[in-house]
Amino acid sequence: MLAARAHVQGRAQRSASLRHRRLIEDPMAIVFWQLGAELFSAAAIGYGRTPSDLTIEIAGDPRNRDLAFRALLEFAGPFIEYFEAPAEDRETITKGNYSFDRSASIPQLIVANTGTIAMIGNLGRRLAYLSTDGPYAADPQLIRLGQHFLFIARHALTPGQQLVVSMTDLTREHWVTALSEYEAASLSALDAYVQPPPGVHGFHAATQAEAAPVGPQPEGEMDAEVEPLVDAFNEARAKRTEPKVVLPLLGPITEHYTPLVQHTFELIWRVHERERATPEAPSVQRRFDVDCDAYIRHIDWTNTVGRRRTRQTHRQAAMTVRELEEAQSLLDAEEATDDPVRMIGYLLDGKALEGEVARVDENNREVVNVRAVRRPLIAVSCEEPCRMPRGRTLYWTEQPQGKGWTVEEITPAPGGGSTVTLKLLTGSFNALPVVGERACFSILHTGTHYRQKLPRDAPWTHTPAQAPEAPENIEDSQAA
Amino acid sequence: MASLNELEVPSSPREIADYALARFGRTVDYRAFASIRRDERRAYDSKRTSRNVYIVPALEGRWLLPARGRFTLSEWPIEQRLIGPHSLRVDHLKVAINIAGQLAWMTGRDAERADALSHLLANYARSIPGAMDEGSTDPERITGAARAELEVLRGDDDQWRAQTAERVARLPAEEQLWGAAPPHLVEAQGE
Amino acid sequence: MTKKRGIDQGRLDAIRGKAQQRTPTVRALANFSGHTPCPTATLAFAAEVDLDQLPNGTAYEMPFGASPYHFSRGESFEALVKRDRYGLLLGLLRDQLGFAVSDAKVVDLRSAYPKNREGLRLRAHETRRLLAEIARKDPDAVNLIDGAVLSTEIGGKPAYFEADSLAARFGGELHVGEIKSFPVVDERGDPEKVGAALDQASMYAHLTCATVTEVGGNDAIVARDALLITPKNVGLTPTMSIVPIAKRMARAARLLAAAPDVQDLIEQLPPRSGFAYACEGAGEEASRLEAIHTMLDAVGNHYTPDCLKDCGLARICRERAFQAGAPMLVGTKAIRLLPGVIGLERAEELASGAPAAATERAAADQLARAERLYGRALRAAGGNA
Repeated sequence: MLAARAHVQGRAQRSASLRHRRLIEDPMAIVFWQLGAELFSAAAIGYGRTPSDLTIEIAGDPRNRDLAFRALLEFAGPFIEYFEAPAEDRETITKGNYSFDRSASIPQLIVANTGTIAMIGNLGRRLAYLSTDGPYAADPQLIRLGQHFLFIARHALTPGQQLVVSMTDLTREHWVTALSEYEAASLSALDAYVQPPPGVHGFHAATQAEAAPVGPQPEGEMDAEVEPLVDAFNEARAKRTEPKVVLPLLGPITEHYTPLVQHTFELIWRVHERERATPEAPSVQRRFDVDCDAYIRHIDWTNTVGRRRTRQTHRQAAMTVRELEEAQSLLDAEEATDDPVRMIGYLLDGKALEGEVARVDENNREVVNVRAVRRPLIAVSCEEPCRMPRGRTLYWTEQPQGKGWTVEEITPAPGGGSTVTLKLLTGSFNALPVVGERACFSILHTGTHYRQKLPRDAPWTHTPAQAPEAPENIEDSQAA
Repeated sequence: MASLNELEVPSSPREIADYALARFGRTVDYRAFASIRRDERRAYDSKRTSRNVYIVPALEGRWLLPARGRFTLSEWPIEQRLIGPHSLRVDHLKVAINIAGQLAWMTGRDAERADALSHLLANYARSIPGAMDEGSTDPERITGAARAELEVLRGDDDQWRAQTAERVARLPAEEQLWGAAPPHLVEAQGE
Repeated sequence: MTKKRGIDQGRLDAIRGKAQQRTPTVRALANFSGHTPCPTATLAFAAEVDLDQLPNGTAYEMPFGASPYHFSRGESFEALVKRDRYGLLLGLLRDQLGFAVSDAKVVDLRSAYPKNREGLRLRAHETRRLLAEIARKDPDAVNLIDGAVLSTEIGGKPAYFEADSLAARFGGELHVGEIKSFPVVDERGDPEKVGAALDQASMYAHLTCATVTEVGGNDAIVARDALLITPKNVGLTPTMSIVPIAKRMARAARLLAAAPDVQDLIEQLPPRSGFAYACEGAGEEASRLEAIHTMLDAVGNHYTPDCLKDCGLARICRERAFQAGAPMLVGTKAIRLLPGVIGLERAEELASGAPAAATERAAADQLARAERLYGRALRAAGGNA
């Protein structure tokens, strides 16, 4: 429906009335460009903590390890400083018999797309396990950068996390366009559909805008343009890689990348600003706390152990898939109960009902296990026919963590709607719906009591015969 | 030409250049080979030159077509200028044995050349089972391993070369050196 | 094969005219196989027209310029794999597939044959002969064919395709090998690239099966695993993975069979039309675009958003879909959600309560409900905020 409307009106329609991700005060925007087939190195790195503060590092020829690492090292200093600062401000939280640290905030990277997050992962994989001795000893700063990058890319798999936020995904979370999946992967096109110039249909604005690539992968003739510059650069440096030789030669390559980096950088901030204007959804706080915990664990781990397995053990794999699924359904539940626009899909699918509260019987009693206990009843009059089976357990969206309600009775009402009677499954409650107000009940529950824990030790059938190997350095031993 | 003479098997520009560098310390730009076939052919056709050795393409496969990028010397016997199903591997082993011989001879005479040859040999020996087990480049060991593999393949290869050489000998003299023209396939489905 | 008619090659050549030609590789075939439901793509493929280049110089040009770095990396990696007269490749086959030392018969079908159509035919002929030897377990059968050429019919038109390597142990299975230069780290590569490489290998394996059957062999000798040869980690050291492709092979066969009959398409095209009138140099931009629209009108197209990934006409077809308000503009999901609804504009009308025709009723109900709920939710949200 919304896609059709977007097509007819020529601009995107909101698919959320709230913002379901936290956007912190002081994020860092990061932009990468790579050379065609070089997935593990950056040709250009752009970063900055405000829209007017863009710093660009250029490798020259990223296929050369020394040159690629030189540019990354320039970036590593400011990045590490930014990334580690929030860990200074922390409190200790005690839950039962164990306690842990939680930071007051997190660093937040804002990037254009998931391609950039994948690139963060690739660079992390390459840098985190470099050897610190031998002929190719790497700077410890690079390794630290790699460890942070690897963590960020892995944490990015957690649904709803906010350590790294892709502006493309953020926009798609909150807007519906008539663009296909494939087209909407371009932040340029997506942004143009959301905010087309006056009088221009979103479709045409997007087809115009999609010609402007966002990175990190080059498109069209880009590499063909940069190739002669890189060749000339290589000739001029005559195999030397020292900064004093290389830096003065970077000019033309920098000129090539600067407008490209700038375009993406500006786009990121433009989307960031637009989305920040929407009020934040209440459940964001819980996910933010999860991010803070993960972040502090990572920082503490980096300072002590410093090595991490690349391949998962069987137990880790099982946990991860499970946890991801749970986190995803929790996220979906939180977003829908926070935001009436997000609830529409559940209402359409008959997984939720919504209407005006017609009657509240706070003191209804019935016999449970020989004792008469309080079980409040309410009746909701819905404009739509209710197709839910009796006995189904629903949760009030105002209290999605609370006790459930069962569908007791459904009576058709004149005009095609129905009146649904619901019974609360507990006698103790803080608040009940109020007669005359609208209320929504859905199958979504955001409590955690039903989640069972996997055994701490994998059963022997799932235990690998030996410990996983330490991850290898992925540099070519003959790297030039 | 000196390199090809010592390699004794059809070789690519790259192989020739690598060998020339290791053996003689001479840099050969292998891009120069791009036009060598045309130049050599012109020299051969011209009545004025009276060279007796030309760089000619190896003859490949069933139809004895001239192979691109695989060069031989016209003075070699026909058998040596052919490439059949076994020949690529057999030639590789032969070169490895040759280089091992050169290395043994060079060791103690010219440390720099020996070192370069040793590197080259290590590259050749990588794909020969049992040649590099110690991780060091030992010419004797490599020769032994290459001979052992050659033993397995040589019979069939020699037989193919002998039979094919007879066919080549029936070609016009020019085609014996420069390769046959591609045959014309008659358009007929379901042969 | 119910009808067996010749293809009017003369007419096909005229339809192509001076349009850029496409090189017949298995990669191109694998690419095309995603577009077999599209009559125009099929016609272009049969006429060997490179659609990617066709709209060059018009507003609908596709940004498909390949990175020279992709190209040079691919070239140098392939040369590396075949270095030492295939020594490295044979080593991988010995280590991973148990090739014996005597399994070292290599045929290189690239180096000696002319680089033209005639060369392709000769190589296809030789490939058939070599495959027949392998199929009947001839002791002289080769173990590795580099640059095999296989043939198949697309919509009734025979065509040749050049592929990477085929490997067979003596008396054992025949494997197709695909050499790709994207890095594989921790046994993982870019899923999209791996998928494309496997689709290509599957197409290749499918054609190999067909050829083996044609020469009287049993296609069970063709392994349902592909050999994927890629660089390990950040360097270029080759590594070989053995990947199952049975499902992809079945899909390849299905896709190829779905191509419409080329002769039919030729006959649908009005006189004085075709790629010849649409290519660069054929006239003004407007008349070239007109020629493309004429073709699309006459034989039809099958636009999906996936076309944008690899078809040169995609932006033109997208514009047409936009003008028509086709639900396909949004993707296949929209088609599923709007059964019986002809266009996005109609969907919007139905949502705002336009009376629905019988075929539209199911979709119309949902649309109208969605509309009501959306309006109410926005009002509710507005009240909250």
